[in-house]
Amino acid sequence: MANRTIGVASLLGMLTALWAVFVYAPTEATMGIVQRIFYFHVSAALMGFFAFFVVFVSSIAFLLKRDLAWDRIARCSAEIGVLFASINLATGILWAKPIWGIWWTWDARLTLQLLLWILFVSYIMLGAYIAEPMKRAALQAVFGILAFIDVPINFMAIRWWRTQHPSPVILGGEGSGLDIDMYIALIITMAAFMLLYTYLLGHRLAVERTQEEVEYFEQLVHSQ
Amino acid sequence: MNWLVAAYSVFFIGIFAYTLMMSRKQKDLDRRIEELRSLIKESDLHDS
Repeated sequence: MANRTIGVASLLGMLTALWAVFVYAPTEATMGIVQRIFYFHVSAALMGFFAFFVVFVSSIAFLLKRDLAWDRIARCSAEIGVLFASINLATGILWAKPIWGIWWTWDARLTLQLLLWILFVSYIMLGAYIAEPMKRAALQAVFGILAFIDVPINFMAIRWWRTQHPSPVILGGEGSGLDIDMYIALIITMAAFMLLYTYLLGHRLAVERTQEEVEYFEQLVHSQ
Repeated sequence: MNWLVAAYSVFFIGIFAYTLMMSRKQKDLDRRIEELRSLIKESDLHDS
């Protein structure tokens, strides 16, 4: 019931975000209407980073407490993080073609984002190949912690190296930033994405709990 | 304009597909639990 309320809130949040992106935010002078991809592209990237941060924290908690509840949160969050990272990569490609004239370049940010995606897809695949729960959870936790190292480097990549990717608009230092209305639209979009992440995580965790319940009943049936 | 439509379509299709996949999986698992529960109930009846 609580997750359904969050689902409704995230739907309303998305509608508000669409209004902010397409009605409230002004059109950027040089890129024109295509720049409006930016709001969902950046929000998807940041929400992916956040989802992987949850994996990182939950993995540490699992290794300390050996409680499979933390492993469950880490695995579910990783899956949603991959979803957001995929959306970020796809929207980035669709922005790059009309603006840069190319679909892809091996720029530091793009390469690190692709590497992050590959790392967490590997994390999910790793889980599918090990049957024993504690062993699988421990291996995935170590892998998740190591894979997370990409996130801070990725975040700083456009601050440390000036390459093809646009310079940062958030925490970018002097000379960076956005028009105030664009900033507000971005904050609204990020809030909507946070609600969406919360809803998807709740939904995914519910499925995972039911899966564990099925495994429990199957064991019970086999033991009879 | 086409690029903008494509980018937002990717987002909404992705989220919708994932949510649909989760809902279907949840339904299948619920059905499986019901089957297993009735199996356990039947075997309990046989035992008694």
